[in-house]
Amino acid sequence: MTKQEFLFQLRLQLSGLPQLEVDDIIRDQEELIRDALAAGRTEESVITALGSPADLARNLKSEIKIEHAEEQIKKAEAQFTNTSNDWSNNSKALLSAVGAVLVLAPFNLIFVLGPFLALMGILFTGWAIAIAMACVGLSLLGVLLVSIAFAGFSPLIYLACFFVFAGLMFLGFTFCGVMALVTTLVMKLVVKYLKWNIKFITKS
Amino acid sequence: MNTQFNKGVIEMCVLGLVSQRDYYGYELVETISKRIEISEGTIYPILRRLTIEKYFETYLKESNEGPPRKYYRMTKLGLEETEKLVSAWHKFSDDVNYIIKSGSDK
Repeated sequence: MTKQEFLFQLRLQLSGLPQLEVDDIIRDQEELIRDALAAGRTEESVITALGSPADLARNLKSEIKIEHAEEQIKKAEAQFTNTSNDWSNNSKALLSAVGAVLVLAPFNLIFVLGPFLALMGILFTGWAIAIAMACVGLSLLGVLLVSIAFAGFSPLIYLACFFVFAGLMFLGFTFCGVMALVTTLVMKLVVKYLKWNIKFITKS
Repeated sequence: MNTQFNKGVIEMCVLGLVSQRDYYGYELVETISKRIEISEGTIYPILRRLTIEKYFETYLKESNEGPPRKYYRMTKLGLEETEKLVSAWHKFSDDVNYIIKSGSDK
């Protein structure tokens, strides 16, 4: 392969990266080749020493993906420690981190996406139950208050119903509080898991 | 060079060199090659990664013999991490040497 062929192939293999980045890498390679030739190496031996354009491109691309994923994770972490109650920012940061890590390796679909979706399903169910309890309790209390005015049941029944419905409502609210804590905890654990996942990928 | 030691060791050589002064790409290849046999292809991905991780910053310097050269300079973060890495390396090589020596003292 000649120098021109090598650089052409490399540029091709690097497509997908921003133009500025590709130009930068090609510029660096040209400098390296130029200096090697000036030092007396033959073009053939230098091009061989650089390896295949495909391998080099793959190597360089994965470094960028890894750095991007690590950055997303750092952002998510910072998000949790600073404004622990800002839900929409927290979840956006977390989703970006998960997305970036998913892109790193094919097997991440099983090891990251699968468990993540399952966890989200469980959390969603928990919240749904909590909110449903609170709402149902609240609505029943409302119905009770209205029916006091129109129906004529004994005060004892009203009292009993009141305690049951109010109890249900407060149980719902408490459950919501518990879900809030659990959700924050789960988000932090997800971030920790993503970090471990990256370490695992970069080692192999 | 024994390729079993290769990857992390070359990175450490690069970090050690740039922590002392600025270098351009091929200069690192030449300097390291004086003691350890490496190929041009090994150095560049390492340089790129360390720059992305903000251990290095780069600048272009005009050259008489042609287009400007890209120089690599270590950042504060790079210096801190290099210090840690070099300490760890010293301890590690001390440990390995000790084990080999004490194993052969029979």
